[in-house]
Amino acid sequence: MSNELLEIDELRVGFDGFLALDGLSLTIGDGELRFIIGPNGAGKTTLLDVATGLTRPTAGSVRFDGAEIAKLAEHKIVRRGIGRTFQNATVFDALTVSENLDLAASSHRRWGLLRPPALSGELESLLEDVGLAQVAHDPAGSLSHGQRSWLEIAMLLAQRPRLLLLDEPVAGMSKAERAATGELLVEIASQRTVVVIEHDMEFVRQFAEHVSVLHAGGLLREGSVAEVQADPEVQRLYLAPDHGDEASDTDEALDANELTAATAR
Amino acid sequence: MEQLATQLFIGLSIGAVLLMVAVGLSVTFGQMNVINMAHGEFIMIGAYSAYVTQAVLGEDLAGWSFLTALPVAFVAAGVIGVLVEHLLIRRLHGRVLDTLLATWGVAIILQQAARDIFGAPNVQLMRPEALQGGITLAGVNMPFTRLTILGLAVGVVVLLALMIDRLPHGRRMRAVLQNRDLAEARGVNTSRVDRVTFFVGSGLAGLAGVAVTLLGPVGPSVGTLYLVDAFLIVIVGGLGHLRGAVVAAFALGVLNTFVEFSTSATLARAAVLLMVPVVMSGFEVSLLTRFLALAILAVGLDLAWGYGGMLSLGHGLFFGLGAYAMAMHLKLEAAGRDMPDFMVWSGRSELPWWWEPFRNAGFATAMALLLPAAVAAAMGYFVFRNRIRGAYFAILTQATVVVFTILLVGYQGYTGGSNGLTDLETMFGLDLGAVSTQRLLYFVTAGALVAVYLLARQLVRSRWGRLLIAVRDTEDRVRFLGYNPVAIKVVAFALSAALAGLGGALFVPVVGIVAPEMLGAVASIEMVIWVALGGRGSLVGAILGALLVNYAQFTISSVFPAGWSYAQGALLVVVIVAAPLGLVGLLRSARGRFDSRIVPTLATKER
Repeated sequence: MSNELLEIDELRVGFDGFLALDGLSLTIGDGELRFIIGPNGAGKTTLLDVATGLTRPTAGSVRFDGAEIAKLAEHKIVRRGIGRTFQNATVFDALTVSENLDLAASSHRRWGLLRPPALSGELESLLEDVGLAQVAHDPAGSLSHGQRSWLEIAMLLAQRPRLLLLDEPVAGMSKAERAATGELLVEIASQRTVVVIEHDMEFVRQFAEHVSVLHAGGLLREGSVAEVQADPEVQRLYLAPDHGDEASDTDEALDANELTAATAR
Repeated sequence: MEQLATQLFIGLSIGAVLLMVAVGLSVTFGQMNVINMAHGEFIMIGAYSAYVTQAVLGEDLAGWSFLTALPVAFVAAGVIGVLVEHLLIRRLHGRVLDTLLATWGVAIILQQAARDIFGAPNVQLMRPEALQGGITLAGVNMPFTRLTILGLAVGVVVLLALMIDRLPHGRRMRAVLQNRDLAEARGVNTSRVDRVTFFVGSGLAGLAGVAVTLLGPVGPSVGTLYLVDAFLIVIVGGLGHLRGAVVAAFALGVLNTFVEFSTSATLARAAVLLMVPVVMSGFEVSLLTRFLALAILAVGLDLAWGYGGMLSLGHGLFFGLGAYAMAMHLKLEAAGRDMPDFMVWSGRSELPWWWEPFRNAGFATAMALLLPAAVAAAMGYFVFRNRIRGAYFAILTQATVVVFTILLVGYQGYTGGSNGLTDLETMFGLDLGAVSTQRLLYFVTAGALVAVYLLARQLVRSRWGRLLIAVRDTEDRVRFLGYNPVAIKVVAFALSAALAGLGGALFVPVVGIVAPEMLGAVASIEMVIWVALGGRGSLVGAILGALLVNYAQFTISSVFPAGWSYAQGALLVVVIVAAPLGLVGLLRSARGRFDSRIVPTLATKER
């Protein structure tokens, strides 16, 4: 077993008396590809928010590579090697695609910041990989929804983090786009540690090995996809038999709910 | 002791006026997220409503005019408020800073209209007979007028609190305040609620205007006097919090009278001297040089606002620090071995120690750049670290520049007071009045502008410049790329301030004077207007804006003084509503139509 990269211990997060996370403990091993699922309000996004400094925990600890990070500023956590994407892909609309990517790759630079953006060969091929080379000089604001998500993933890769946290990377994507994203994730996971929050069960079944199920701010089950699916309690809560493939429509409705909740905060 | 108590009482009554202004501001901001810069003008409308009411009722009914004026003023201010809301503010929904600027345009127009209708001098209303005199309690003289104002304010706040608490509209207001989208989804007609709230808020300012007429003469710009204070109250008291506003208003009112009480002597002496006439020979050259110096400031302001999204309504402060640093050197040069003249007049016998190093030209020049940068960096660090941005930041900068001018005026013996530093005759031994010197200054300033433009262009095109835009649009996302937005913004703001200081330092030798009014709250907003008109987010736009607006101001106001205010106000409204990216934005989109290329539409984005 590889050593632990991210250790979450007895994490508690409250918003105005409501506990979004209630004593969650979870560990992610180095080099793992982990899927986190759970019904709405289970605390999945809150977990990501705490791990990246966006939300401060009420109690408990978050250790990355052995060091406590729960009280660090967002950008300092990023510099330690944790990168994330957001539920609604956020890129810089006023900048071009290549400028977006270049900025993502440049946070370690000092005087280099005073030079104009320039794509290295590595970044160029990254753009090729996500199929955005054609639109490299268009403003990111003109991209389609799927393209924005891909750009955000490319930016995350350009940051070269040790741990990648992706919040519903395939939400709103077409079937073909989902498949391509899944393959990309598996490929990334061969070199980095990846945590994916996902709603889309078909996607999870297809690409996940190790799954953690969150419920009501705590960890409900952990195991392989098959184990988790076989668990009666998980089935009752989340994987109702009729909740299968055609669930994506309702999923998106739920996503929208979560989104408004996030902006309201 | 008795004098103290009397002062205290006067302070309370001023606090009462401020309170009526501030609660209106507070509810409109709290509910609609609108910073209404024209709110002060509703006070003015209220005051003139009282004036008109008295004129209509005639002398026989003068005793009733105060009571009659209250509903008249409430409705007049309320109706105009609703018009502004309906015609302008509604259309700019969600664009807080744009609303701020556009309503500033409305304020300019309303003020000029009052000037044209009622004349520029203040008007004095007859005091109702019933309110003559007063009572003396424990040695404290309490005029009935001020007691009435106190009563009026208390009544207004109680009624408003009851309305918010009990009436259906109040319930809807609270619903909209808490969650606009949800309220709308539940069937609350939010635009109607907005309209009613705006009517009430504006009407309250109108009532304050009637109250003001009891205190003394009123003029077209009476509103601006109270607006900045009202903003402070709203901030200090907490937005949308009635109770906080009450406490803050009275505290500030009391504070105000004490400060004014102790500096009234300086203020009186300040009005003695007039501006030194600008040298006529080589006049056009010096005029242009002046505009070029202001254009340097505009480039700086554009970096902060257009690129960085930091709308500063206080760049006069940085301009002023640069200008004063240079002016202190010139003043010492002019005084030679003597003390600067104004210090002698103030009865000082020794040069303050911190004036001494400004004898050195190099030190003064360095300070003109470093001082604004340091102040901006310190201010920016505390403000940005606490994630204060948008309208809050704008108001904070405005408040800072107000404090700065108060200090300048208050410490006459150190700063020349409201006269400023005058009679600056030579620079590095050259006669500033000579045509040759004016020419030289022109070349120096033009050279500086070119250098500043090239530097800024380089920066804007660099990664840092792109990051600044990224911070402007989506600050939080930048953190997750591993950058600290605070550092980026502090550097940008400090640089912007340094450029403003440079502009100030170059401005001073051309005009031969620096005075607080050149860099006060109003001047600071005018600086923003240049950039808005020329085109924010475009360096050429900022320069063009500064040159064109100042040239237009000079030509129009010398021929037709009132015309300038209308033109400036109207232009501001039109640009914000119709062309948020200014002249350059218009040119670009015209060209874009020919190219049939997609022009990124950042325009409607909140900066």
